Amino acid sequence: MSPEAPAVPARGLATATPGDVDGRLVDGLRAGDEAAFVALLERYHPALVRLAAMYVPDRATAEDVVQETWIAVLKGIDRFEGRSAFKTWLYRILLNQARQRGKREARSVPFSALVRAGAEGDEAAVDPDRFFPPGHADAGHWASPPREWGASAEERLLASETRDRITAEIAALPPGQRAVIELRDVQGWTAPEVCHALGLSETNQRVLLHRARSKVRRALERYLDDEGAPDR
Amino acid sequence: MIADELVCRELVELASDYLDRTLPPEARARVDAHLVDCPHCADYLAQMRRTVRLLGSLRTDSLSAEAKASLVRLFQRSRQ
Repeated sequence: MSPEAPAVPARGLATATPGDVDGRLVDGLRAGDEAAFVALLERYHPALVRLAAMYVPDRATAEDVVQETWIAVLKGIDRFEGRSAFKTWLYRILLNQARQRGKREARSVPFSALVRAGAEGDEAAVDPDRFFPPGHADAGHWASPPREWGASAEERLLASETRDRITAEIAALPPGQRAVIELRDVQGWTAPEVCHALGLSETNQRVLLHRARSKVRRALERYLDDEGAPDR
Repeated sequence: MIADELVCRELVELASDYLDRTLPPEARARVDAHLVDCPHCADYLAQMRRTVRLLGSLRTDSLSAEAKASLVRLFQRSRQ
């Protein structure tokens, strides 16, 4: 760090605006600051690996793809003009790398074919048997309603075992649902960011998210309903 | 029963959009009207809301020391 740096982090090419963490880190990276690079790794690397893993056959290949992505970032950072957000630029590089690699490995089905909502079947959010059947006086209303998740459930929900259950449930989802719930709910992306990154229509994105969330809720409900049974 | 009254089986299909506030206003009003009389659907929505919050807490994957070391080496090489 240069001694004259206290108020203004970089000269000339600075892209940072106040409160813009990525912009500050990008300025640092351009100036050759290793700490800025490490901070960007910490912010994005794990999420990039999770995203790459949706395109390539295994985790090791995903790690490779992300490594190539960072190499491209290091090479291209001086040309990055800050007209789009750094995050958008970064993910675009990642997706290009991942798609190229997926093609090379010739094992991946085009992602766009995987994520079409229709390709993942028509599924009800809740088992239809839990509602009164057509013809019944209360047709369509709960026959077997969900139980309120009270204080005792809350304790279990916060346990690390619950997180493992959710992770396993996400891993078992069809690829489109998995990608959307991962990016929206786990990584906290907005709907337009997800549509853009995955090449999905807004409608497909919403349908996939809804199905995925419904399944995770169902898994949690089942898990909590086992409550009466002793753990081991 | 009113003809266009929402039933529980339909409400659960709107749950995600309802929570994300992406339902058109009139559909949202139908859900709200249903919730006034249906504690079960209120419980259901509370479960969905809790589920989404739990998903948001999963983001714990951190950068492994190994990945960090090899990427920092790349960085140092790129500066030479």
